This record gives sequence, structure tokens and C-alpha cells, in this order.
Amino acid sequence: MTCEEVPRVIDAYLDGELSVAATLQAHEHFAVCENCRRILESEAALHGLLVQEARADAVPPELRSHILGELGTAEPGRSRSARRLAMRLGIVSGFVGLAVLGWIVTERIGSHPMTPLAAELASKHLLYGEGHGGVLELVTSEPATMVTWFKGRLGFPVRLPSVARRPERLVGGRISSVADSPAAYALYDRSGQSISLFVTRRVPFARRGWTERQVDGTELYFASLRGVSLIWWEEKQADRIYAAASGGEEEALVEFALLCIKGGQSRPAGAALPVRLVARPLAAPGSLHRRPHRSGAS
Amino acid sequence: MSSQERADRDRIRRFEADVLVHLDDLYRAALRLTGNAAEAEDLTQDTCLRAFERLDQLRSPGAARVWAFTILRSIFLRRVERQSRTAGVDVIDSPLLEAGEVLQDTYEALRPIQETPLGEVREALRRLPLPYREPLVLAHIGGFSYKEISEILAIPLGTVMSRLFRARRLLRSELREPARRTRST
Repeated sequence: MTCEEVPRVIDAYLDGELSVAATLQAHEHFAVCENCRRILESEAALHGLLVQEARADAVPPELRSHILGELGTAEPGRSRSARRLAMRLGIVSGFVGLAVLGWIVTERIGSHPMTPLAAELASKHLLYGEGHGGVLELVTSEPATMVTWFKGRLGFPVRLPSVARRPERLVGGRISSVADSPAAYALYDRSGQSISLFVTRRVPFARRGWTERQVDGTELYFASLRGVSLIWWEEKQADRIYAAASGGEEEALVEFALLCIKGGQSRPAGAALPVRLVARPLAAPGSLHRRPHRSGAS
Repeated sequence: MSSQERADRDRIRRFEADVLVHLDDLYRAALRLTGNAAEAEDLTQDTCLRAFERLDQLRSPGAARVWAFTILRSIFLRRVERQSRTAGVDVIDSPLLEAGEVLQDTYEALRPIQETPLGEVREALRRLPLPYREPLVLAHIGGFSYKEISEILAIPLGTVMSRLFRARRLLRSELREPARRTRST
């Protein structure tokens, strides 16, 4: 990507509308071009400002009950003017949050084969987790607050780990999408390293191209792309998948995945894992790093 | 409980799960479209009631959000037409901006944009012409993709991109010169 192309794609980049390939190309350009990075930061600030502005509303707290009250007594087709008159009564104010959905079309990058899921997770991690600001819709360090916020927007429960006494710190989250399905996105910080957590519905053919490993009795699926380590696992009872991404060491990411799976009851940070996982160099850009199977192929 | 009562209750439950879960964002969008809290409440309520009446037309829960926002916009536009406040919605589109139209100097000259008071942002947003305000509201409040915005506004994808691009440039320009009051809805 060149400096001349940046202004044309910057909105789509920040809106998560670029293809995975273009997102990664833009990301690489911003990493080396200070001028374009400054433009990106300014645009991201404008996006962030709009998100903040959208959250700053007082929504009438009785709006919902008024509407439900009307539904309970109204037959479809009842006079709309009569309903309108009734519903105008007694509305007062309160505060709630905002959802922003994003999505990126999945595809291949150049001639390098990779799974659409890995590409999408890696590019969204780079987009949301690399400090461009304005991409988080709720900034909070409280998992319970984040969980409640997700529930009101996604319609399905999301479990986030307790990170008390852990090196990870919840930064915030947003609504995103994975494989065109709505997804929760939570951003964590571990000693300056961003960790992304995605929660979404089960993705068809998700295992294809990933390496399966049994860790602590749990099936984890691994991939690595453009310096981003990726792990996902299923929450079978809830028909969800959870995916974690980080540019840091894979072992720390596995530790984080196990923390998520056990809901915060896992071993303290840095304690030995039951299966020795050797930290490997991250894959070269565009390639999918394959690791040997420890148990069963996906 | 009679079968009719059971059916009515199921219908309301479905409405709550599929449509009412988006109530807050519908209200926020209504507020930015109307610029007035009372009108926004009224618009939101009418939207919900119409959605309830037509719940059988909803294809799947996944389509509910786009569907509800489409209803909201349809009711809003009808009101705008009734009040004769519309201002050439169809004539403002122009081809996508060229890269050269992005004034890079604004990035240098501006105060850090993140320091802009939210009240100024809201005012600037309110002053945006409706065709630019609509896609911004849908993108930032609705969280919709370009494709979904295109569906809701019934305009081509390229027009969505063009309007969003221009909307943000206009907004930036307004924020740079908050005293300027040249645009109105």
C-alpha cells in the first residue's frame, strides 16, 4: 500500500470493511510510515469521538416498559394514534451503552494459503488490539460490567475470566463479527502486550487448516499468521467458540486460553503448564505456521 | 391459559428477544435523526409497534436489527416529508472523492480532535445534512456494515462509502470551525 492509497481506504480500514489482505497491507504500511500513522491516529480519534458521543445519551428508562405495556393490551392493527397518545406519558431519563458492529470479508492473501477464520481473527486483532484508539465501545476493567454490556447487545451470554491476581488486565470491548456472525470482542493487556478475545457462534469448517492439541484436558486449535498467534476452542454446551489472539509468546496465550476456559480458576500466571509448550518463532508474514499434532487431527 | 393467550405471549416474547433488545440503539438513532428527545421517543415507540404488528414478516432473528432500523427510517422519512423539511436528499450524491480531496493539512492544524467536547460533536452532527447524517448514525450507533447501511438506506454500496467519507470530512471541518453555522437540516 502507498501513501497515496491511504486516504482512500482509511475509513474502510477503521470501519473494518477492508478485505483481510488490504487490512494487513494497510497495517504494514502504518507500521513504517509516520505521516500516514499520524493521519490514521487523527481519523481513529474522530471515530472514537463519534462512538463516545453516541454513548453519551440519556435513554428514557421507562421506554421499554411503556412499549411492552402497549403490546400487552394492544391487538395488531389497533389505532396507532391512540397508542401514540398513551405512550407519550411518563417517559424519563437513564443511561446505557452503545454497540458498533464491524465486519471484514474473509479471503486469501496473495498466494499464501490460510484459513479464513485465522485471517479474520489475525486482522481484527491487529485492527483492534494495536492501540489505534476509538475502536473499543466500552472501556472497563470490570469483567462483570463487560459481560452485562455484551449480553444486552448480542443476545447470548459471554463468559469472561476473572483476572484478579493475574498479569492480564481487561481494557474494554466492542461488538464485532466473525464469519459474518455477531461476536463479542474483549481486549486484554498483559505487560504491554495486547490479547484479543473473540466469542461467537460456532463457525462451519473452523478446524480446517488449524493444528489441534490437547492441553490440560481441553482441545485447543492453533495457528499463527503475520506474527499473531491464534488459539480457539469450543464451549460445546453453549454452541460457541472462543478465540484468543496475541502478538506475544504463544505460551502466555495458552495460559490465557486456559484461564478463559476455567473462568479464572486456573493456575497462577507463570506456573507450569501440564503439557510443555515450546515457544516457537512466529510465522513469516502471510504464512500459516503449522505445528505437529499432539493428539488427533482436526 | 387459552391457546390464544399462549400464542400472544409467545409473540411478545419473540418480539422482546428479536426487536426490543435493540431498543436503546433505536432510540439513540431516533434522537440523532430528529434532534429532539420527545420526537425521538415517539419515533422509537412507533417503530417498535409497527415492528410488532409486522413481526410475521421478520425472516430470522439475525435480520431483526436491520429490519427494525429500516422501519425506523421509513417512519422518520414519512414524517419529514409531511413536515416538508426535506432538502434534496437525492441530489447531493457525487462520485467518490479523490484522494487529493483529503486535506492533509487539517491533520496538522487541528487541535487534538479527541479533546473536542462531546457537545460540539453532537452539534456538528446535528448540522450535517440528513443524507450524510444517516449513514454516520447507522455506522456509529447501529454498528452496521456498509452492506447493511446500503440495504437500510436503499442506496448503492459506493454511495454509502461516498456519503460516509464526505460526512466525516464535513464533520471534521465543522469541528475545526465550531463557530461556523452554515449548514442546517
